[in-house]
This record gives sequence, structure tokens and C-alpha cells, in this order.
Amino acid sequence: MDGETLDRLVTQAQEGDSEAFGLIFDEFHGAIFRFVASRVGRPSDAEDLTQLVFVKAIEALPRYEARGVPFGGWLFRLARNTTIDYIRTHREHTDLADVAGRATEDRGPESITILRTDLDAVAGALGRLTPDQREVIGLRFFGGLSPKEAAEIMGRHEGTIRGLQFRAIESLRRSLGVNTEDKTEAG
Amino acid sequence: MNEERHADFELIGTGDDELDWRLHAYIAARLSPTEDASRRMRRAVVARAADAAAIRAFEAERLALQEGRRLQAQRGLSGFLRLYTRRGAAAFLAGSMIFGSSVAVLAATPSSPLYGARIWLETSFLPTQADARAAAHVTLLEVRVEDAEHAAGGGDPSGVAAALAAYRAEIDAAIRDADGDPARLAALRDALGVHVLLLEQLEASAPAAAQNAIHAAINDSRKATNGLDGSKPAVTPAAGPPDGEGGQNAGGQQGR
Repeated sequence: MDGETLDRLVTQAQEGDSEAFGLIFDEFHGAIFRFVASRVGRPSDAEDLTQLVFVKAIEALPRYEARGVPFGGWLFRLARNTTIDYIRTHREHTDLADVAGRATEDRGPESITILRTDLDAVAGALGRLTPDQREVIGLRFFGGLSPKEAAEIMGRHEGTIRGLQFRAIESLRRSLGVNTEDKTEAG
Repeated sequence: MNEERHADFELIGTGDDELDWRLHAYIAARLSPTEDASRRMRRAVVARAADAAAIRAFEAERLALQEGRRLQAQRGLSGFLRLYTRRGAAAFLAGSMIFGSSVAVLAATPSSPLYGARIWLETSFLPTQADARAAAHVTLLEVRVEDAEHAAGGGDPSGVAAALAAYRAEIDAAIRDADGDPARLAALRDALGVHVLLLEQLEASAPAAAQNAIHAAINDSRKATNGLDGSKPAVTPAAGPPDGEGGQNAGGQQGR
């Protein structure tokens, strides 16, 4: 979806077109869900929270102004705040490390083919990251945001985000025993 | 998060193919919503958006209606207030102007252009009751004499002339309003006698240019006194001491 189409849909949604908001949901819900799921673990919680993010977006939509704030960034900021609030009030949150324990049986047939042990290893490696590194990985690789967008959402400099990402990737490679001689070029 | 970026997301790599593959597998297996979950969320979100739109539309309509009523009420109230405020302001302004003008008129000196208005104002509001009216005439005569004295003291001959012209007109009005009543005429005669004495003193000290007016006032006052007495009119100009010695003031012309 190009920016012009997105702007038009946002305007229509602001004017009360619920189906336009449905199309916006279609565009963003996967990334939002991945980001949220990477923080809260339980799929049902991720579903509830993703839905809550979009409900908050509906409520805040009349006040949204496109000037200087891309809609995706605005939506991820809502997602991040919603997730932080949830984690604060639900101490039993699992975060990335706890996602390791999540059964693969609730996935489709394709997922079942993936070795559960390998998924658990990835989850464990993610769990060993610092909170900032985990958030950068969540926004960049699970949410699909650019370093600049992640920086805006986290309130950090873009260079800081690149640094956190570099160290996070190095940590993941070490934890997973991936070839550590290669240089990281993402970002 | 547009289509390109979504593609970017698919292509975002860590720089390590093996790590990318494992992360993407992890995302697909544990971080992505199922189709059922996506449908549930979409249904709930779109329904919520529709509800919100309906609520906003209803609220907007209600507010518009409320605003319309408020404006209508305000128009009614403000119209009422405007009407009465305008009338009140106009009345206040008129009152202020009348009061201010009245003060200015009543304070007008004989040389002032407003002195004529002052005379008119003072004579227009005399009591209607005959005795009270007669007494008011006497008071006004005294006031005219005082005006003349003040004008003379200020070296204002035209002021003296104006005051004494009013004085002479007031004599005529007083005689007319006395309507032949002996008591009222007697009171007027006594007052005029005193005035003659005062005017004679004034004549002695007034500027030369005011002398004629003073003299004419004295003559008129004497004529009137004589007329009230039924005695012959005074023929001598006002002069001499006011203590009644000598023939010029004999015959009760001074009234005391």
C-alpha cells in the first residue's frame, strides 16, 4: 500500500468509514501482532493486545494528524505503550524468553515441520538479549520498522538503534552458534 | 509499513542467512497471528470502528442540536438584554445629558450664553400654588440681584446688564402672579425695597459701563414699589443713604 492510499484510507476512517479502517487493519495487523507477541508470549494475549491497539487507534484517530508522524509509526507507538502498560500490570508476562515454552501445536501444519527445539533455541537466544536489544529486534525484524522509525518510537538516536541492533545480532549469533565470522550488515 | 516496506520486512536481514532463516521461522511459528485470529481481530476492530463512527455521528448531531438551542436561547436572551440594555443606555445617556446640561445651565453666569437657558429653567419650574409661587418669585429676584453683584465684582458690565434685565422681567412676572393678593403684594414690595438699597450700593461701586443697567433696574424696582403702594411713581434716581433719612426714600418706597 503506497503512502497516498494510506493517507486516503486514514482520512476516510477519520470520517467514519469503518471498512477503510478494516483495510488499514489488514495492512498493519501482522506487524503489530508480531511485535506485541514478541513481548507478551501468550498468543491469546497477543491477540487481545493487538485488538486493543487498534481499538485505541480508533478512539485516537480523530486527533491523529499526519504532519510529521507517519501513520505506521503512530500505530507502533500505540502498540509499544499498550504493551508496556500490559507488562507493568501483568507481572507474569513471558516476554521473548518465555515464548520458548509456547507449544508449536497451535500453529499450522507448516509450523509443525519446524523443529521445536530450534524454535526454543531462538527464543532462548532472544531472551538473553538486554531489554533495549530485544525491543530493537522486535521493532526492526518483527515489526518491520526502519532504524529511524524504531528510533522515534523508542526515543533514541538512530545511531543508538543501529548499535543496539548490531550487538543484538552478534549476541543471537553467538547464542545460536551461527557463523560468527561474518559481519552484520543489516540496518 | 506500505507494500514496499512490507517487502522490506520480508527482506530485512541480519546479514547472516542462517540467522535470518531461523528468525523468520521463529516469527512464522510463534509470532504471527493465525488466520482465525486475524479474522476475529478484524471483525471486532471493524465493528468497533463502526460503533465509534455511529457514536461520533450521534454525538455531533446532538452537539449541533444543543448548539442550535443554545444559540437560539442566547439570541432570545441577548435580544431581550440588548433591547433593555439599549433602552437603559439611552435613558442613562439622556439622563446624564440632561443632568450635565442642567448643572451647566444652572451654573451659568449672566455673561454666559447659557444664562438665558438658566433663566428659562428657573422660571419654568416655579410652584403652581400661588403663595409658594409668589415666594419663589421673591427668591428669584434676590438671585438676580446677586448675579448682578457677582458680575459687577468680576468687572462684567454685560453680565450686570443681563442679570438686571432678568431681574426686571422677574418683577413683572411676580406682580402678575401675585394676582392682586394683598399679602403677596406686600411681601413683594418689601423685597423690592431691599433690592433698591442693594442696587444703589452696587451702582456706587460698579463699573461705569454697568451704571445704566443698574440705574434702570433701580427705577423699575421703584416704579413697581410705587405701583404696589398705589403711591406716585418714583421720579428721582436712586441715590443717597439707604437708612431712610431724607425725603427720597420716604413714603415706604423701600418697604422697610
